[in-house]
Amino acid sequence: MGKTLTILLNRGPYISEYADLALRVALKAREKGHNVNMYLYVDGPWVAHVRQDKPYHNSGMLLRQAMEKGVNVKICNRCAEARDLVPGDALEGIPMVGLFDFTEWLRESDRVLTFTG
Amino acid sequence: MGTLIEVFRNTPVGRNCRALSQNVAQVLQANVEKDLEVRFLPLDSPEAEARGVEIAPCLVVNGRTIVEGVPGPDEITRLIEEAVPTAMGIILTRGPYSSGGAEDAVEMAVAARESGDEVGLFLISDGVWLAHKGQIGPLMGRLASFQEAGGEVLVSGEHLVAAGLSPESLLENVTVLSDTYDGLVDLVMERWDKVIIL
Repeated sequence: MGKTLTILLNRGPYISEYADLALRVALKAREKGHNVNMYLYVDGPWVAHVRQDKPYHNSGMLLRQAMEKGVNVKICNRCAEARDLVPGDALEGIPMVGLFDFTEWLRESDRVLTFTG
Repeated sequence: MGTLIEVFRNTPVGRNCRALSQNVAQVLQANVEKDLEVRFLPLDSPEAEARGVEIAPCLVVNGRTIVEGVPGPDEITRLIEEAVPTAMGIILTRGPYSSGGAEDAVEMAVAARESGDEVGLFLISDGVWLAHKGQIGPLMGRLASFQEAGGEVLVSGEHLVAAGLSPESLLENVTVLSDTYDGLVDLVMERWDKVIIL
């Protein structure tokens, strides 16, 4: 029986390795049968902004893969709004929600990883 | 790993506090082969504040299991048997010397180990450079203390390769995980109770 892992990602792509670390942990945890949530917070929503294919490393593609594998992804609506990131800018199918959704995830999680700082 | 038993008592020591002390002493005598450390402490001690203990008598096992009143010897024995230290994972993503991250990680690891926790220090991304041998300075001394105290140092194989570091170039007694994410997910989900990323 899988456990529930919630990942908080505060960093955007192409600034540090955090987005990729977070997503690769999410993918592996999913592969191992765990329930995985990922909350894109602060600069994290920029990962969802990377929609096109690139001839180089692509965090947006990893996020797409994670969603296809059943990772639950949500974007902080205020973080998105502050960055003028509207739903049409982000990968399809990611709800933009308030922090309460994140605290709900915290409540139901066995483990939480925070990629911040 | 040892078990720390703290007995918080009123000053002067009252009847119930004395009864609890006697029960603990009895358990101690019956378990001489076990690695038990007992401390008798007053309510106005910093330890009581740290544990959040406000009423005496009170028994605290490994700083976590808190029982008010006067548990009997059987109950105390059970508490000791069930006392499992926390397993803590510290994931370090930063290289040494560029920020305080590595120092914080190592100091936290040492402190957690001293309080009886099982501690794993997982080096990933630029964090792998911490395990590069031949570095001089106090940080390496602290890392050595952590390892000597039974702390575990784990290194991401993928990032080791990316950094061009060979396993031979690393400190003694570090574990290289050839499948970084497989190892990391198992540690996070199955082994560690608490995880912090620095």
